Amino acid sequence: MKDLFTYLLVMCFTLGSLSAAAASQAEFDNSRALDGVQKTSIYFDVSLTDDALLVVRMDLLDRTIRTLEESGLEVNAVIGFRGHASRFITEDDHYVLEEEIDNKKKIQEWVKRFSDRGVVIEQCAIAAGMHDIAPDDFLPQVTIVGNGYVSLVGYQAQGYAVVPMD
Amino acid sequence: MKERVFLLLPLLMLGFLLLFDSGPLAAEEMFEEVSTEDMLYVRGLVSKVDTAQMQISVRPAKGKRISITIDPDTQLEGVSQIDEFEKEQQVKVWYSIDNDINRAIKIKKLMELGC
Repeated sequence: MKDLFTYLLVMCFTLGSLSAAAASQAEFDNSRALDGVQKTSIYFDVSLTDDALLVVRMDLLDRTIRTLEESGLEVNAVIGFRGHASRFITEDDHYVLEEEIDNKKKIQEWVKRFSDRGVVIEQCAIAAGMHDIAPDDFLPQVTIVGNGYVSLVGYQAQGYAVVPMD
Repeated sequence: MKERVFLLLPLLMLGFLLLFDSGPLAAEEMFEEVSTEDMLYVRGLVSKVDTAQMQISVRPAKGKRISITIDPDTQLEGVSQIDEFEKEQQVKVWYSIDNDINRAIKIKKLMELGC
């Protein structure tokens, strides 16, 4: 009886917390920032080292694009990889530690999903060289560019908003 | 006689320069980035540091990780002692196999440029 009471108490608390969180999320929007905006271009600068954090950021990145699209905006997005993050967008389980393999698979899936949705995935050739990654070892969805910084500058000059993910 | 000394002096200086300059070059040439009969070479990520056993584990880009034992004769570049190695650092390792133990001859920690 006591166990049942504890169970019900925990359930009520959990449901209460979830509904409060959902309600508080629904309250917020970006209407002021998006007022009058019809089209947006974003360059996500991804240079994370931590595999778990990179997976979380991929989800956040997806949510950002989705939120803009759901607000009725036309979205052009580019995800530029450099630094240690480059290791996670290669084929198979190469270039990562054993304990990073599971998260690498998730990141590979994200790259495929983003590419299918028309998001451009770029990889800095200099970073690839620094990490001794052969160009052919990158996922087929990835376009290798000469210098990731030049891409960043170029996209910014074209009016893209640069979102750092380091 | 004086003229001969003036002629010989630059030649001697050039000889000394070549002699001293070739030292580091020769040392670098000893560590080619390939495995040879004398020593094996691997480049990869540090996956484990065991200071008690004086070992680091290195995972090559494509392959299983290997344990490398560091001894007082190991040349370290980029770090001064084993506890300065960290997971996910890029290293180049030259080693030999001695009684089934991979003994490091030289370990070079690569610079992280953030690029």
